[in-house]
Amino acid sequence: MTAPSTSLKAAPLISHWVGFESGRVQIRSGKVEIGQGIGHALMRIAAEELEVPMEIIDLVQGRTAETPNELWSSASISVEVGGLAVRQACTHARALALAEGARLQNVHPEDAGVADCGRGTADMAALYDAVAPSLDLDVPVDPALSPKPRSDYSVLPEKTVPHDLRDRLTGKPGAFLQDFTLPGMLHARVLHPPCTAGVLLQCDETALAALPCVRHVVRDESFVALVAETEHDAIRAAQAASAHVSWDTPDLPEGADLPALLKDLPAERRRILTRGDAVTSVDVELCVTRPFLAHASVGLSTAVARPDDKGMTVWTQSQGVYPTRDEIARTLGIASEDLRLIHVPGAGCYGHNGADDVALDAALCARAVGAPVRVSWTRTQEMTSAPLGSGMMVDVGASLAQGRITGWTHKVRSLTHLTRPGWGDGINLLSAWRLGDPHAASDIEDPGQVPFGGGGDRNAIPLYAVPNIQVTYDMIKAQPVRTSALRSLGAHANVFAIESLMDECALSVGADPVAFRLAHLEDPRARAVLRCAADMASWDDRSSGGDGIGWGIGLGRYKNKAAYFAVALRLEADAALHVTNVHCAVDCGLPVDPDGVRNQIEGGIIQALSWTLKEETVLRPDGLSARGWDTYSIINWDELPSKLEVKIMDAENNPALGVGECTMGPVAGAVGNAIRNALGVRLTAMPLTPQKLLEALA
Amino acid sequence: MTALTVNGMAVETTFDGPLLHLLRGELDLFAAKLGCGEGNCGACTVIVNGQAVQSCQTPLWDLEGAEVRTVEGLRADDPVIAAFMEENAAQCGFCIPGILMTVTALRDQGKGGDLLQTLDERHICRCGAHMRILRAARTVL
Ligand code: FES
Ligand code: FES
Repeated sequence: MTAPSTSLKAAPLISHWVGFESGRVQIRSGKVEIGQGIGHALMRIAAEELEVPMEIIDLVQGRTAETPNELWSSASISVEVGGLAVRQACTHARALALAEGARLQNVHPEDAGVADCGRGTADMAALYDAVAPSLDLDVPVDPALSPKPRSDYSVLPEKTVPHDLRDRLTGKPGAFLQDFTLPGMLHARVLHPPCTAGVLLQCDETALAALPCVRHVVRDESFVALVAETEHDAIRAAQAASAHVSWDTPDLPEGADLPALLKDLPAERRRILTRGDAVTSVDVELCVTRPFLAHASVGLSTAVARPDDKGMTVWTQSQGVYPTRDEIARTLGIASEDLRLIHVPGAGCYGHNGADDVALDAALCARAVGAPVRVSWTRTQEMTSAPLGSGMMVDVGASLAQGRITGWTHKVRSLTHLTRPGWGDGINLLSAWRLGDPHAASDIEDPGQVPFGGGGDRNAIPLYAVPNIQVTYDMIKAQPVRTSALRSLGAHANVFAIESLMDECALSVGADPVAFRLAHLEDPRARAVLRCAADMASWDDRSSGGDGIGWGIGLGRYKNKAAYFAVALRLEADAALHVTNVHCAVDCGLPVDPDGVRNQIEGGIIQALSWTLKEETVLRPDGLSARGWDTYSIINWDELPSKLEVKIMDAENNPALGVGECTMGPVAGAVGNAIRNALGVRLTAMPLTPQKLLEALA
Repeated sequence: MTALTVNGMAVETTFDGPLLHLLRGELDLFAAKLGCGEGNCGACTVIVNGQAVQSCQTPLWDLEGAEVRTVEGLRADDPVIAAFMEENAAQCGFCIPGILMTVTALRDQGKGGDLLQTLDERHICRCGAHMRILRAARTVL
């Protein structure tokens, strides 16, 4: 028996998840679509488990008071936990429907499935329709009922077109939140200081109100928004506003020397793992860094709010409608029940971006003007006001004897990776800090989820078997800039450090990097993905490197408990660093939506290449270096690999695991290792740029 | 007053901002997206007189008599849309309508060879759907 989904705790009844009405099937989920394809995966789970065509399923996701409270769609657990809940609820609903069908037809329940109710999808749909009036789904989901084994899947082909793809591609109104409109809706832009700690020094409200396109000026201490009839007017108003406001902005600390910046900020040391004897000396060591990174979604953070007699409805792209509802309600001073949050997909979301903040912005504007208001941030606000992925520094070292690792140390230093709404007792919404009656943010506290790593310590513990090991996390509580969750949190830098060190260890004992890893790997699934990626790349036949062409390998298991991922890649180093071939293997247990898995893995690899080779935003006294696409480069089309091959391991008897974040660290490691192989130098400071390579070669 | 056609329909307007806001704000055509408003992301791309342009950078005063095409003007079974559906060439999909118009313009001009360079100069996909986008685009170019 599979363990019950933890999502069933807050929503234990079948009826919380599944309903049958008017010949259709309703599926309700607290996990929301953020570009990761969870909606389609949930549809596939329900269709297969209930044995109905996808076309009759209506999926509702992320609506307070209507869908289960599953907190956030984050940490790659939407399929693992949210999908499991839907699966278990559907399994039970199907069993009850068959029993009720048998009762109505007066046949023995054991015959119900083979009697008139039949086995085909049309028949099951007819069965649900027939039994719906008398079927009681207000019963707790029984997780002891076994879902269908993979071998019995009969409804869906391996690849299905996502149900909402056409709408997204062709501009159906409201398919994206950015295109969602309500009758009488106004548009607003909020004025932000150049850095998040700024306060409003002077604001000429009369001049702002006199701007030709402004309908209302909403002002509450340092919160200023300009409301206009159209989006175009709101944009023009915000552009003209800068002449009439000034901000008091504290200097940011200088961040060009990232290790110096991080060491200057006081940190609290946590022991993540101490095992075996103290490691007092190491033979190989590296200090790696990862810069501050921006989410840089192509869409602007957006929300629509509409006041009503009792409270407010907010349409949002938040990853967690319940936690964000509660914090907005507290900020507005209204009861949570009087505030409704409805999720509508926005552009791709890779972690805690401005989505929650802008939901409060819209609520504040709508309350002030008494009409529906849509608020979007600006491109500059996306880059400078949304939380960043934290800059990180990782010192790793290993001692070796007889060709094996005997001791391992890993010291990671980072700002927090978790300041989401719902995290702690404060209010983690930007504009709440700026009001005349301000609310403080929560105390900084990355969760201690040893050994999984809840924040900067995510994946700080290596997968490899080493007898003596010390892992510590120096968590910086200061927030010179706002930081929070960005895809994979600390895993990007931690796995980069681990995989770089593994290669250096292998080189120091003259071992092949893959063989050396295998010699230190006990977990059979980790061994299998590593072998598979190496085989896909014909690892043993690769050139020896050193002539500007190199191969690198990287391995990780996300959070040390989720999907396994291994990648072998080929890199050419000349004036540019170009990854030309990527071969990878993923073990995510049962792949619910194989093409969706491939899509996530491909996207994760490309974004990881972009982070690792190109991206950074640097703290400077006068603000962040990245203020738009012109100052924040991401991977371009001519920099893509010409070959990218994904193999999904045959592991379908294991529970389904999410794949959204498993690629980030291993890809970074493999790139660093490929550069080392190509030219014999170890780059340790991401982004790994041609300029740093030239300096290292000089 | 500017007179132009949008997807074959005559439009007369006194609006004098960028084409993007005419489409989204006045004509309720939402396929073209606002990603930056600065000419750097391509989410707002539409076709004007046969050329793919960034509509956030295209002022109305420049469009007297122009023929504007957006994704809404493509037939539902247009091979470009079909190819992107077939390849599931999207993650969030926010960047795609703009890319669809760039690909459509290249196809109509018979300039498939310019695909990479055109995407390089004009389009950002943050989700990393690039490999699928290229595959889909190449099936129609
Ligand atoms: S919105 Fe026009 S280029 Fe970004
Ligand atoms: S698919 Fe999300 S930006 Fe391209």
